[in-house]
Amino acid sequence: MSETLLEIRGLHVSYTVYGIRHHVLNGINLSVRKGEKIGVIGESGCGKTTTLKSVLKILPENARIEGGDVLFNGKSVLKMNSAELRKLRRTKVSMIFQDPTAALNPVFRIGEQLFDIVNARREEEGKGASKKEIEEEVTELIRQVMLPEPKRVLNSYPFQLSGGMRQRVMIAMALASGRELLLADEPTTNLDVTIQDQILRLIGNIVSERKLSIVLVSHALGAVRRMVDRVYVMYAGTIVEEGPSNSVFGNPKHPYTKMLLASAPKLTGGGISEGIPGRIPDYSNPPPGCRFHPRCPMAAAVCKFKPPRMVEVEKGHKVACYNYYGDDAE
Amino acid sequence: MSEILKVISLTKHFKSSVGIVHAVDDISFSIEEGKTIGLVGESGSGKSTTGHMIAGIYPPTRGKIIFDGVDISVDANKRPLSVKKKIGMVFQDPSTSLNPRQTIEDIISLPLKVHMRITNYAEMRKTVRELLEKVQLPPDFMNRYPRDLGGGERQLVAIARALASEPTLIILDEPTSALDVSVQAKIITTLLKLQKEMGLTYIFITHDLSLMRNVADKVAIMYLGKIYEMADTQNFFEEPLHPYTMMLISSIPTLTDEEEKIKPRGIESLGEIPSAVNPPKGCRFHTRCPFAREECKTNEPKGEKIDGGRIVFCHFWREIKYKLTTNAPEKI
Repeated sequence: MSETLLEIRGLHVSYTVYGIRHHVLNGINLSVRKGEKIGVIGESGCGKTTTLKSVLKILPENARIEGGDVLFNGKSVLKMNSAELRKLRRTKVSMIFQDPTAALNPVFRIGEQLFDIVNARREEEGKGASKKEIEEEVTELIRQVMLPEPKRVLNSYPFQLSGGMRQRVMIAMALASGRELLLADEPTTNLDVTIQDQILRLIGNIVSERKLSIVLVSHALGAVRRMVDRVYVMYAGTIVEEGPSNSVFGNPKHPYTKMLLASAPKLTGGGISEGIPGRIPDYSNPPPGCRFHPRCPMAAAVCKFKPPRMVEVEKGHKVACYNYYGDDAE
Repeated sequence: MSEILKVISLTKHFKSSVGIVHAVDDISFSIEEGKTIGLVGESGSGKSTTGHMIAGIYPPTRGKIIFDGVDISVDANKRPLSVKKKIGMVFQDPSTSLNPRQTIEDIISLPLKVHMRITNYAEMRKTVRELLEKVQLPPDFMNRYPRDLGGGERQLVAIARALASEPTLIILDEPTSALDVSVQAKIITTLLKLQKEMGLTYIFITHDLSLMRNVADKVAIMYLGKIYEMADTQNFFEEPLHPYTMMLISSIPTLTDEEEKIKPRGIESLGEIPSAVNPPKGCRFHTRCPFAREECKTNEPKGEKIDGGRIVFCHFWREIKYKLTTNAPEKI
């Protein structure tokens, strides 16, 4: 077993909106080993993006970390000073955002934006480089993400590229500065299925080649299943289930995971389930106990006041649900 | 079963600053009453434009739309009101298709005033309540605004509004692609239930093939304004004939091994959809087709009818199918 690269311990994050505090993340525990591919799934608004943003400490101003810690290589990201954070963001960890149109600067050419990122990393690493060397690295990055006509792309503004090409540029940028960990926040949500397929294959290949770790956040369940080694299932700011990808997708335990997976239409047909009744709770007044209990068909009395803890049901496969206490509680 | 809608050589070209956009080019299909036809394809394939023409948002450049025996391929405001009320539409994003300053009651009662000639206030409220019931929303939603509802609930309101004029045909343009799967499931089961109860005919537009598998009776796949294959749903998914259909199905990320098994082997997605301003000559798919030959670059394939109303537009589909079924690698 290789060593832990990222560890999120009991993270609590709240947002204040119009003076009302919304308690979103409610004790997230998540770990990523070196070279490991991790997936995070769950409905919109369950805190997936907030979790990722905490790792880079790029939460919006109205967010507050209420407790817990984020450790990268054993060092607390939350306690880093600005020089240490800059180094982390420029050389170790980077993020692929959902919407490359919003993430790329519209008034600079792609080549200029990539140049700056590579240059910043080299400076941070103390490896100054000539203009030519940096340009070579930029060209190499564009080649790696398999963009056709690299010269034209480097001379283009973001609006001159298609959505799929912009996402490839986004990946090239992430590779330029994220030498250890990539955080991919819904990287294919706005893309057609054929382009999604190409982008996922590309990310998968590069991550394996460079022995990077990746956290892939998505509500495209199939995309996560195909990409990752281990998966975390989030509901309303809590981790309800975690385990090896084939175990969680093949044999889900938590009622939420079961209902979520059953909601997805199958390529083999067979009709569609009823979905999950209700919606994600109001975070200004989240339900006590298990946060899923108001929507859970199996909720018992205890679920309404005491949050369940994680129990291991199979090797590496853990679930936070009272239904599984029987085998493990003692 | 009788044909409720027939589309013949339907074409739509838009003028733009860079040239003529060939959004839809010479497509033909028909739907039987009470059935669902699915239009699938990538962004820019012309599936929404097709839906919009049938709904009467803009008239076709050429071709005919025959609804219930009446030619409706005219400007929307020249369509008789009696035909207009029979065609409903649900749009992709319910947060922009519902007026934010109107209550749910206002939103649903407009078609009741225009098409059903309801003027009595008590009757109006009663009808709105019944429509909300049909889509399984509580009656007290009447007094709320769209912003008070979740995405799924808003889409149910849009469906209730579409049902208000008692249509026989409803065009569903990506009705669930802005929603989570857990919410999508609820919308789809409601739509299927309504179809059964009321004998509705659906034109279902989506890019989600797994979803299409579970809702449509017949599927047409579009690429750059043209239909390239049309078949019964089961045949379409289990035995695709056109290389584009195969490419699209093979790109779908799946959740189970059974699904993985039915995906075509020996083909993977390449390239991107080109611009519809100057679509490629010959077969429009040839720039991305791994099997393309010289002939594909010059000659447009003609539709070849195969058993059971199935049709495929490809010069070499037989050879490609043979090649893929005999030389396919065991497992991807």
